[in-house]
Amino acid sequence: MSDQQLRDEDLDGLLGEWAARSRLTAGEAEALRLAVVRTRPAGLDPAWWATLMGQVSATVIQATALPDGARAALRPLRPLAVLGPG
Amino acid sequence: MSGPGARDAERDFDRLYEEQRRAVHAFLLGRTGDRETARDLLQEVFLRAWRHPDSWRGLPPDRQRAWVFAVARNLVIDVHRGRVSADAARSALERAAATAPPGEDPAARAELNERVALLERAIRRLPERLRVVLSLHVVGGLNSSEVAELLGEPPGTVRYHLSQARRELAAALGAGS
Repeated sequence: MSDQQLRDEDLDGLLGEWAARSRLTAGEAEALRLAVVRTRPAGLDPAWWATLMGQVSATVIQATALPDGARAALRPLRPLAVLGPG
Repeated sequence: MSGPGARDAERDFDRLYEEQRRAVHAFLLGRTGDRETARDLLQEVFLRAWRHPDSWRGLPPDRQRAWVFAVARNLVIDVHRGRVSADAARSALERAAATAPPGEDPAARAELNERVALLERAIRRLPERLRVVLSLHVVGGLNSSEVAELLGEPPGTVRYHLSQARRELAAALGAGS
């Protein structure tokens, strides 16, 4: 084996060691990903309009399709009267 | 953000992150010559990707990579230069010592740490264009054609730069041992 080969292999080994120490570990990469995705993205969810319209439609259908008795049961209860000390 | 749209966005982001993070990190390491700065900038790059999904979602993978690297290039121009000199003074040996596996011969480990520190100093002294090519190849695991495509250079130029970087490092290690 020539001196040049020895030097090349030595350099390859050291570069490999440097690269291994330089790369993010799996844990570091995951911590970084979590730090990013836990921030609130700017802007609205792209699906916000579809979601809102879906909720509105469901409410309208529910309110108009039920019989009177069932609709009455869905109305909020009247607040209870505050009882006095007597 | 919640709901199916949000889940799709996060899934796309995770894919982008997994596919590109190693190469982007290697690029940033090459440009800055400093691990901590490269890591901070990597987080900033992907924070921008997370906050601006419309900029890259729906693009083919090669254009997604181009978008991420364009962000990285712009960030590194703005941010890194002020911090590198201070960070470069940090002891590489100190960091390396913390990575020693249990049970390894301390003397051999110390010698290896010393040689890696010497190599790291030599890498920092390389001209930036050589350091970027070397880092993308060795740390990022990209071949010379992939490096050439990323940097917009002919593959032959990349191979020449790699060879030049190795010659300079071998000379520095020879002089330092």
